Formats: sequence, C-alpha cells, structure tokens
Amino acid sequence: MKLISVDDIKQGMMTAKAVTDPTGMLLLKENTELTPVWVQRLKARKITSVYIVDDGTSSDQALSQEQLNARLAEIDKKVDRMFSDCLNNPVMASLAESARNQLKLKIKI
Amino acid sequence: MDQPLSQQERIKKVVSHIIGLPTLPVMLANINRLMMNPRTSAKEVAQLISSDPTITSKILRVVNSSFYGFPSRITTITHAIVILGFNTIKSIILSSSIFDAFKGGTNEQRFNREEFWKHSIACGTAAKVVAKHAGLSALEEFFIAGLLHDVGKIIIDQHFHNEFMRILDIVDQKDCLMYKAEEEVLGVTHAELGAWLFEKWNLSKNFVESTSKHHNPVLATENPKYTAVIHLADIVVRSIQIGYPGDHKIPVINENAWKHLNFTPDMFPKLLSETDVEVEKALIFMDFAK
Repeated sequence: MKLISVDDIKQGMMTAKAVTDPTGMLLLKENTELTPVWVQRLKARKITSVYIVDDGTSSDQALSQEQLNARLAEIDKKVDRMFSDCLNNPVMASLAESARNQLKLKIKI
Repeated sequence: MDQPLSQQERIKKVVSHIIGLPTLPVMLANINRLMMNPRTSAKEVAQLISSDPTITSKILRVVNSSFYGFPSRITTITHAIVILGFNTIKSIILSSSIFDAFKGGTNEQRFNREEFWKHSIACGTAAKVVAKHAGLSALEEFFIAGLLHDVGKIIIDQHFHNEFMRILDIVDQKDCLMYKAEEEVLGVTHAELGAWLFEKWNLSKNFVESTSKHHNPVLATENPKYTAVIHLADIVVRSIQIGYPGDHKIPVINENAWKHLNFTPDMFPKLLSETDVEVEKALIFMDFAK
C-alpha cells in the first residue's frame, strides 16, 4: 500500500483504502480501479492524495467502526490541543482544518 | 540594576560551558576547499570522496533511492556527481555528517531521538515543497536547511542535560513550545545555539539565518523569504504530526513570512498532502541516524 498524489494516478491503479471526503462521505470503496473519470471526480472534490495498492501488497485489514471512531476522535483531540491557542487566527484555523482532513485520510477505513 | 544581556552575550555565556562540540567534519572541509577552486574537476572530488568507504556507500545508497528516483543504477561517485551535481553531493555529505556528529541517543522517553530525526527529515521535505510552491529554485538546499533547523535541541540535550530535563518538565507542565521553556531555563534557544554552531562551521548565511530565526522570521534580514520557507515548513510538519519536535503545540504563522511567500490558505491541502507523499521517500535519510 502506498500514498500517492492524485496527479500521479496512472491507469490500472487500485485503491488500497476507501476514499472519503472531508465530511466522511464515502467516495470510493477499497479495491476500486482508479479510472480517469474517478480521478476527475476526486479532483473536483478536492481530494489530493489516495492510498493505492502497491506491487505485492494487498490492502490492510479494515478497522472496525469502533476502532475507526476512536482513531478519528484521537486525531481531533491532538489537533484541538495543538491549535488551542491560535484558532482565532484565520490562517491557522484553515491550517487546522486541512491538517485534520489530511490526518483522517491516512487512517484505515 | 544590571543591563539585560545582548543576544550575542547570552549565547556566549551559554556556549562557554560547552566542551568538545563536534567540529566540522574533515571530509566536508576538504571538499569545500576543493570546490573553491574553479578548476577542480568532478574526478578530483570523486577521488577524495571515494577515499572514505563509509561516506561513499552512504551517498550511493541515497542517490539510488526513490528520493532521487533515477531509472538506472548509479554505481560510482563520479557518475553521481555528473548526474546530481557537486552541490547535491555536498548536501548529502553535510547531512550525513550532522547525523554522525549528533547520533546516539538518550534514555529520555520524552524526547525520542528517532522521532526527532523524523520531524527534521519531514521538515526538510516540507521545506522543498514550500519552496517549490513559492517559485524558488535550489530545492535541495531547502531540504538540508529544514533537516538542520532543530539541531540546537540536540546540543542542549548533549551539553546541558540537566537543563534539558527541566525544559521538558516545563513543556509538560505548561504545554508550551520548547523554545519558550529554553528561554526560561537557559536564556537562549535551540534556534540560536544551532545557528551559532553553523556559523562556527562556516555554513552558508542562509542556513545560519533560517536556523536562528525559524521561530521569529520577522527578524531575518539576510534572506527573509528563505527563513519564511523554513518557518512554514516546521509548522506544516507539526500540523500533520510527522515525528516529534519535543512539544505538542504549533507556532503561529508569522504574518510577514506569510506575505513573503505570497501563499493563500487554500494551498494548505496541497502542501500537506505533497509533504506526506514525499516524506516516505525522504525517510531513506533515517539510515544516517542509525
């Protein structure tokens, strides 16, 4: 499994993890072929990177809903702690949101 | 009442207690000397590097990794110099030397060296990404500047270990940035100490200033945009939590630095995801830390 930029997706690549948008809505299931149409849609949804199946490695064991929720809550807690003093700064608030999304993208679904 | 000490006096007072600080590695000094002569050929530099088998094997490992991503295998230093250029090879030697000079660890659970180096490598990676989006060139140099920016923390751990423990206590108690605790305990910061060493080593002014001012980029006078890159790279990497810099807070992006880069907040998703992708390749440098 490998994290790659959406710009680097090539014909025939498969998702190794489900792709969700920042609100958690499922866009693509795991083991889906990333066709050019899907790449367009991902870009339209501002998804910048995806996990693809790397040579010789299958997708990882999926997490249970409970484990997933715990991971998501952990991310929120860390980001909240890190940015607690600076969320009134609009640039920092924007960075906090982007960081939250990027960190959530990396956990297994 | 005593006059407050100037920055230079504060640093001088602290560094006068340092005994046995690493010296500029001989290999780097020799290469610098060779490269000052415009008539030096790739072959001469290659001969010098090849005389050290450890450095040679490190360079070949890095240049053949996915970090550089060349399709065919590079098997000799001369070939590496021709393809990557003197400066890149010098950067690899510099980073390898820094890891060598500061390797080893501490039993201190609160400051895991491996996680620290991961933060440093990630910061180098983010610096390349930020510099690229800011339209800058010589991206390799930004990688090294990012990699080096926090070396002062290791100087404190190695040479002022008791104070370092107190700094970690304060970071725990106040949940503050490390440099704030350093100011309280030592009167100088890791940024100032790192820059002091690099100045002693005659590293470039950009390295010295970006290290010294990465928490206070508004004070950069030599090359404010360069320092702004390292300042933002550190913040980007902290936000996506790659490695551990020694505290859990994030510095606020300095308004002036932000203006120098001419960025907008809608660039964050791209900056963060590109850093995440690139960092996996750059982790080859973790080999140097072992």
